[in-house]
Amino acid sequence: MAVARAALLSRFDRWVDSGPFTARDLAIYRILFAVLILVRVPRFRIIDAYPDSLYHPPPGPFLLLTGFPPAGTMVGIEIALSVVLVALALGYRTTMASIAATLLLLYGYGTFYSLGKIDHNIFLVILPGVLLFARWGDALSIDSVLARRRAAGLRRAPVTTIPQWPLRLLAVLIGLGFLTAAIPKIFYGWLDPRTQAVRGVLQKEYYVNGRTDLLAPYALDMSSRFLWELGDIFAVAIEVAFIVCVIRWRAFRVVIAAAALFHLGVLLTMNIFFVSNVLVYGAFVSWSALRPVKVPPGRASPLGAARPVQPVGSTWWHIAAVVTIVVGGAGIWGLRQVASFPPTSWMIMIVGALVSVWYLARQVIRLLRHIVVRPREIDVRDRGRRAVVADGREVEDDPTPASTSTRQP
Amino acid sequence: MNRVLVRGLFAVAVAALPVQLVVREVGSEPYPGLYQPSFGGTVAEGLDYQTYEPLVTVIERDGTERKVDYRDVLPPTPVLPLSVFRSAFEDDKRSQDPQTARWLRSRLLVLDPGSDPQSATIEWVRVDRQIGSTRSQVAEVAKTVVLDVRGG
Repeated sequence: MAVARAALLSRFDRWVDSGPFTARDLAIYRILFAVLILVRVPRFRIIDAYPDSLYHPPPGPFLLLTGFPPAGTMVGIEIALSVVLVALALGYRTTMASIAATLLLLYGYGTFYSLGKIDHNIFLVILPGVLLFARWGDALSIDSVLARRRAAGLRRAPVTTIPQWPLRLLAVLIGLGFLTAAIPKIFYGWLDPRTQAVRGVLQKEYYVNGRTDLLAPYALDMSSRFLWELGDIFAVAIEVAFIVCVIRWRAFRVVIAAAALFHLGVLLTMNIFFVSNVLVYGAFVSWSALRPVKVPPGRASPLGAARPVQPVGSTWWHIAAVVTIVVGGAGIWGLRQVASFPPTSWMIMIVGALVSVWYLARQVIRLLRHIVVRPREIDVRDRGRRAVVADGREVEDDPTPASTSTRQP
Repeated sequence: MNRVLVRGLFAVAVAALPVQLVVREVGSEPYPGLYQPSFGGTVAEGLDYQTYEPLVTVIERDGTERKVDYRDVLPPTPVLPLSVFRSAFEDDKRSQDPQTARWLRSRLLVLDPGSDPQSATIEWVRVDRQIGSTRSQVAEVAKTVVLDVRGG
């Protein structure tokens, strides 16, 4: 019993620790995430237009307050968040910046939701707090430069591997979050062929909530019960698929790619933005695959590790970083008060959809190659064992060459 | 990070799921909480479905009545306007608070600066709708909320 338990835990640990994400992947994503949120920092101060008598917080810590915070406090939250996001983008004190970003987003959005409705962007709020454990500041960051200096001073190599478990945890949290949506749908009869759930939602959004733009009128005119029922089934299936496919990274990526396209469809037909979810899915993209040099999974960029240390005093680094971050963050906040920034919501949804189409197309091509073409060499690490097919023979991976067996396909 | 702690995090995340579902069903959705929108109550039986909407009528000092769209009453809202309006004017404690009445008067004056509203009636009506049809019918007035919005 104890042996079985130990084996199970060991297998779980291996699963949790496995992943293709590099320090550079997360670093690029960190910068994208911080910049995109920075240009979209909500105007939390608009809550000041509502009286305290309408303060209706959801169960949770906001019950401790007796009313909406004053406008000055919310302006302070906006500026603080802008500064923290600049720090995150530059990768300075990334751990503290990540914690601060999560707490500020939690507080700011919590005041919004004390108007009586929660918008479900929790994945975006918790993301910095989760990815700090993946050390997403280990590359393309001020922190990494300072770390190399410290390591050089101590005559030791800097740490180049990043833990994979935070990404796995984030994936599991996303899967569980979507299950809270799928389970009620199943119980309320979304899969019952007598009901038209998606169609009912669309009509409500159109006639009651005034969401009548883009493709909403055309979707409204669609009368095929079969297609609407397919929509009901697909909505439930994709929400369940997150937690099911979290077991394998390739399957999970297929699901989030499909989900990004699904969110775009919901935007076009029901005018509901799920921008925060699409932004979070970006954490699972191998951004460094865009580089010409392939980086082994789990390792930091070799270019970053090999860069020579600059002979600059660390005190000046810190002063320069702090000044840049504070001035930059406050400056960008100030600029947003007088100038309008490009509509990043649409950009995120469209780029998310394009990346998803590209990824899904690659998976289809890969599948066709497996089925149709006999490959000379296939890397099958994603099947849980490494094997090399050479000239049509399959060799089972084994650390002891003497025990290697071969078999004809 | 410590191996046991990592395992514990995953275990807590999974164990929290049934708790979250029960909490939402028994009470209401907490924040922060790991939820996604369920749209659970909007399924239509066959082709019929119902919605629950506010009709706002303002009575002026001279006795005239005017209908006001609830969306125009609200200032810019960061979340769905109907949800904000429902939270404000469906609950007796919040709707009958004197501060709410003063605020509503200020909002009505923003809409029509020359007016002098005396009272506002909000009727929460159940509307019967049919999928595939633009027709709708007010089935019943589920609740009426009257606010005294006189100035001074």
